[in-house]
Amino acid sequence: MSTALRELPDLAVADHGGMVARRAMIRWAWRLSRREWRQQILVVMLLAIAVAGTIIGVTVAVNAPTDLNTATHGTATSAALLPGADPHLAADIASIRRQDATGPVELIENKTVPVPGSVATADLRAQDPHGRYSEPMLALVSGRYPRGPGEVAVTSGVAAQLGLRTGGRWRVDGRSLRVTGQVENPANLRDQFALLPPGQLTDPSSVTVLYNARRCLTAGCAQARLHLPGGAKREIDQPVVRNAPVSLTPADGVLVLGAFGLIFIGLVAVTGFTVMAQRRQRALGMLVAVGATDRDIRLVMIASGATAGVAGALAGAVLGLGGWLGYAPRLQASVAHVIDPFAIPWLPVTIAMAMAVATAMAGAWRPARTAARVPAMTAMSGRSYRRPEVGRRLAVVACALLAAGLGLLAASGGWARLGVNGGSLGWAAAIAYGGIDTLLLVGGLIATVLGALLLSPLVVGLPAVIAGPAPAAVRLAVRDLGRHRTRSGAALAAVTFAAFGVVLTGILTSASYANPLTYAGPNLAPNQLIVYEPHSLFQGAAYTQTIPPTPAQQHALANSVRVLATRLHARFAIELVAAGRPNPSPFKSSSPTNQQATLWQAVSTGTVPREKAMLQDSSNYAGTLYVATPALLRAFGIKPGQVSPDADVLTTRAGLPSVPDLELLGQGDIITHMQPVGHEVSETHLCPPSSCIAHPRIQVVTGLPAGTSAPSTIITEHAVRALGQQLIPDGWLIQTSAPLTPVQISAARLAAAKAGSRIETASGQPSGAQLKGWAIVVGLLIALTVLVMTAGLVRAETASDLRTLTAAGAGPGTRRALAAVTAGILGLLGALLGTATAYLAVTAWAHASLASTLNPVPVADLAAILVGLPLATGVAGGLLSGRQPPAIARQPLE
Amino acid sequence: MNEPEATKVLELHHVSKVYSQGTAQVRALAGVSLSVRGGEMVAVMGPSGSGKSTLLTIAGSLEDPTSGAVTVGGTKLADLSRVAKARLRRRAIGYVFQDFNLLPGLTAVENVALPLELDGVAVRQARAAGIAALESLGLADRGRRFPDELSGGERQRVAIARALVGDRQLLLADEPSGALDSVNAEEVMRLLQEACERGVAAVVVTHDAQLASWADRVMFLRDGQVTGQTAPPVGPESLLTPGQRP
Repeated sequence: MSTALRELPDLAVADHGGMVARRAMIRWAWRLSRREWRQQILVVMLLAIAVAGTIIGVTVAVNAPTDLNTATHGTATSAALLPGADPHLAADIASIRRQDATGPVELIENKTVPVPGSVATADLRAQDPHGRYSEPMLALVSGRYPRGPGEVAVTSGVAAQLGLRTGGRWRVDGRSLRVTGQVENPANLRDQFALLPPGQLTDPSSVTVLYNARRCLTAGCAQARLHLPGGAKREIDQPVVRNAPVSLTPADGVLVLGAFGLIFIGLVAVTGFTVMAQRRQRALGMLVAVGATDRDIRLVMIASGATAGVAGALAGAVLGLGGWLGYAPRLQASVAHVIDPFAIPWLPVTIAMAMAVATAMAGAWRPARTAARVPAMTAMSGRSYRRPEVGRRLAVVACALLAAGLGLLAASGGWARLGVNGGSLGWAAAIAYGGIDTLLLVGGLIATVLGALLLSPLVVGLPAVIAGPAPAAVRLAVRDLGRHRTRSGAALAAVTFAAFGVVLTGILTSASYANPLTYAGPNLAPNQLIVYEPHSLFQGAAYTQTIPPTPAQQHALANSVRVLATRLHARFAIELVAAGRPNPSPFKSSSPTNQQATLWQAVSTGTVPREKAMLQDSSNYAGTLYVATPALLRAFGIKPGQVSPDADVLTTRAGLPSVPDLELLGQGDIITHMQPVGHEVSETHLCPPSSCIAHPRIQVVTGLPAGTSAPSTIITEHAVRALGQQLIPDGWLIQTSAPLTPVQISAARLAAAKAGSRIETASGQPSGAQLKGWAIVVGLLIALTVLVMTAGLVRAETASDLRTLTAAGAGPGTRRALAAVTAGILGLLGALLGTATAYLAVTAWAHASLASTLNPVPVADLAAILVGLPLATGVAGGLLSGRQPPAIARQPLE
Repeated sequence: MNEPEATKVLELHHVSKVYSQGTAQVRALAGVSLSVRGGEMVAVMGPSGSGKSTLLTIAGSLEDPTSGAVTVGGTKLADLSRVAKARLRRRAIGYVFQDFNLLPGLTAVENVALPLELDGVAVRQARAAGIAALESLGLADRGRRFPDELSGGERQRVAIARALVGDRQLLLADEPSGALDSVNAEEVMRLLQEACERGVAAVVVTHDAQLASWADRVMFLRDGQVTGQTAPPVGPESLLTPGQRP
């Protein structure tokens, strides 16, 4: 027998085994992940969904925005519209052509021709397919471009309307044209036109001059750059500012939202990996016994996290990209501009995938650290390990974060500053004009949420304190939650996060949709239909004339409406009258509020610096202000005695009279500014008594309809007189007994088109309550799903208790009760913590307008969260359990 | 004459261990001393709760004693950091457990080579050493099998191979035959004895007196204290100094 002792290695040198050891750990983690993939499926699925959602969201955000400037200006910065009727036009066009036919300007001649039987018109357009500026405005779909006289190419819409096909002939404008192909405006697929070669259009109704007015920021500057020796009138818009500094794009916003989602998933991942670490506890203990260091143990868990993260990221990428490719054609139809399905923003996609991997690894970090601290013999014995108490330190950090977050939220300015941010201005401008508030808001939200989440492991132990007299199953469940705070705390944090989102949505949407001024909701009831006068300003975003109809036109339309009402068996058909001033410039390209009387809430420019006032909370009434004619009041059953003689405005929106600083403005009193560059804001100047009523008297009348396009808020006739406005016929409201059918709507549209008019029916836009309801249902479903799954994970670790209970005679009922109480308590605590955090955050953020923000209290939403969620999760947890899971607490390795 | 220090692979000097469970304290070991020379096999016997496993975990640096000193190969464990202790376990100490504790997901040879890989030995060299260790235990054809494809006896032999691979000096076995039938149990003890014949010091915890008879010396524990031990065999050194026993 040898008794010689070999020399021991130099044990003082820190040696972790290097790359070989790491590879061995990663290999083992990888194999375990393959063997135990079912245990990680929840985390992988959630990661995949988050990545897929982020990829689709980012790609949509990048591709969806419509660049209307490209659709109308091409690559030019300015477009001048020259009216065709101007006697100087021909001379100016000739001059422009002489100056430089291919030079710094490009001409597009337009002529609008009617489309028989349709309210729409077709635009004959003489345009060079390879124009200096207009090339992005034109693309060949099939066939070829027209080359000479007698040739035309049409868009698909024109072809469909007129039954044209390539090779066929079209008689229009007094001549016969051969259709050579199909074209489109890639930047605006709704742009329907017939393309002629340049110079082939006689008597254009207007001519568009495209040119570059470099370094021009104002319309006046752009106008000065265009030399028209003939002196033709022109209308020139604000020049397009290209390559403006952009700091936060919509894609960035989606990415930030994706990051928030991944935080939530990370919390679920902590629970999942904690349970995984518990299941591997004995193997990890054995690793320590054969010489693995703490770092090796951590590496095993983090490698498992990375494996799950990579799997989730790859699956999410496949799902997301596949979903995008499938959705792209529908999006193109929706946004009406050409979308390249392969124009995928790879950088954000890569970032989203990397975030998923990082989330999973971060989720595995804490369980890894805990697992590495478990003494080897404790781990191998299968006994649970109680971590040293860190509650006080955690509470201090959590409270500090909460305080910091609430402070930042309080400093961020509340509703008044919402939306005033960097946007397309760049951060420098944003900071100069108050956009720093957005940073404060985001930072405050993150800190507040993190603070609340860190409280979760402390809160989860509270029920055990008061569970003394409860039945055994309840006591066991709540004490287990307290004993295993790492995983149950993470599960609670996930539920808290979901509940926070739901309650925050509830509070803010309640406040937002309760705002009577900017109320958003359905435009009309399903049994209502408006037939607009051809001149009406309210039929969509575009209009071509504002000249009031002649009596003959009015009479003809009235006859058509009466016939239509009879066909629809209408209860009534009343004329809608607006207040305004007739005959503004036909080329004025501004919003209808500039042309019609409106209710306006603005910060006085006399009390705060001008530039700040322009960026503060100014908004105008979202809807149409019709005049309260006797016929209208009668139609809705409002008797003259019900209307106060000094009322200026009648409304069905209950909160409108209490909106501060309202002004009832006549036409033309709002001036649009461009300050700072690229950011349009409006302000009121003075409120002259001749055209403005400060603090108008508003009376709530319940009989009026509620839709945003319906006469839900109306101006009394004496207010119209006070404003110096005139009554302008605007359309007809037809109301039937039953909801209109698609056939009736189609027939109405055809009849209106024949009369040169248009109709509006219920758009199907959801109401604020519906939107809020959907948001809450989705949030609750997410919380419910996560809760049931994580509760299952939490219960899985106490399988040995279940075995003991079963051996002691407990039946499936006890096991169900354990799971139900576990899920229910987690749901209740999450709902309470999330609700409290949301109210704290909102209180801090909107402290300046607390009463209007916190009222009305979303009682139903709170009930759904505080009562419904715990009940639903308890029931679901109980139903999904019952079968005794295999014992794992003392599971042998092999 | 005192036993030469250099031959002592393991030495426990007045080792005590007290576990705290809330306000209660449990004394697992009370002033236990033990010295094991290279090539010697010591069996530790005693009833449940007598402190046998605690003795083994303290000897293997998995736990620290409450008081007393532990020396492995002349190095005091109290002087070592956690990383240094891990390194000691990788290079000098081998563990054999009752329930084998092989890692699922790793083949037999990968399990055996694991301590070497953790120590930074190149994968190929570690595998070669693992295969050699398995061959020495008659498992050459089982190297590529996963643990759940092996019998109980084979698993324990793989665990012994893992405990011996890399020229270990101290083998600690906690009921190594507890999960085996008598034939396999005898086989395991024979393998441990062969290891000792190559100079390895071994401490084997067992309930089975018949298996303990394989040991050179048997130590009895009760309530954390040594209640007796059989005389160690007469070694060559004692023959040189009559009248003295180590």
